[in-house]
Amino acid sequence: MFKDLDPILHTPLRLAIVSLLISVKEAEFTFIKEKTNATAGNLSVQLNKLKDAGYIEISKQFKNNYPQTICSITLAGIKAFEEYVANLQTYLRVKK
Amino acid sequence: MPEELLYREGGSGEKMTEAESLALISQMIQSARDEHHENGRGWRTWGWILFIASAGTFLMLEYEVKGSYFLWNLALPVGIFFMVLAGLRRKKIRKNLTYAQELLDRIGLGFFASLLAMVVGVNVFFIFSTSEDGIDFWGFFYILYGFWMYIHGSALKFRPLVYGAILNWIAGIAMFGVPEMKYKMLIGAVAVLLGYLVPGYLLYFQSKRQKK
Repeated sequence: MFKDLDPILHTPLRLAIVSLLISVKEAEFTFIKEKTNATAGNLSVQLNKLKDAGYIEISKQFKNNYPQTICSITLAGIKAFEEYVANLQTYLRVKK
Repeated sequence: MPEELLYREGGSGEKMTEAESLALISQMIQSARDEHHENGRGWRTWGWILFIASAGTFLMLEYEVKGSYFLWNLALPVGIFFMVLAGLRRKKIRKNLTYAQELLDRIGLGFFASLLAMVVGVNVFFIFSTSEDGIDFWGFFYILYGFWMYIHGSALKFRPLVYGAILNWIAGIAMFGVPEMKYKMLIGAVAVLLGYLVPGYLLYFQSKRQKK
């Protein structure tokens, strides 16, 4: 039985963001931007989509008078990511 | 990994193959893992402070200079000052927090609190004790340092630090068997030189190579 791959995760940038956040406790916007090579505008849009899906949390704070955006993955995000990877593996196994 | 995947604007319409998805996941996870901030600074700072205190005390005892232990009274406050400074600076530039780094920060804090408590305890003992025999405590410090090094070495999978930890454990045990103070200090100096400074500089050169 094939399950459809989660459309929220099955796009390059959103998958890259979630894969980064799964490995760290929290990460700054600039860190994610640097690692994904995305533009600030695109990254911001995709982060908000992930937030609306309940997969990540975004908090804004000030550090040395500069605004700072901190992102972290939620439990729902971890579960969605695990399911996505399991589904991917099923597809790849059949293709072999 | 097909890097061009990440450059596309929009991010919602385009599809990836399953293999591309897995490659992307693997690259991102690896990339986040590699982002640890160990450049050997702590080992180099403490390495020099403890090496100077150990070797200096050895020389002072050898040449019978008065006030032989003042270097040790200086070592802890000077070291803590530098570590707090480095910690504040690192916090300023840190853009992400890995689970491993968080664990290390906690263990580090617990370790320095324990060390401070031991130093205060030993000083309290000498202030209030009426016994003429001193307690033989030196080995404990090196054993405890071995614990710290082992945690770092094993978490970072950096073998020189693990070997340094084993060396410091052996040195600590040896100190309990050596009655004369100046030779305890000589053992300590060798343990710090090989156990802290060598791995510290290896990490430093490794981090310099990675930056190039």
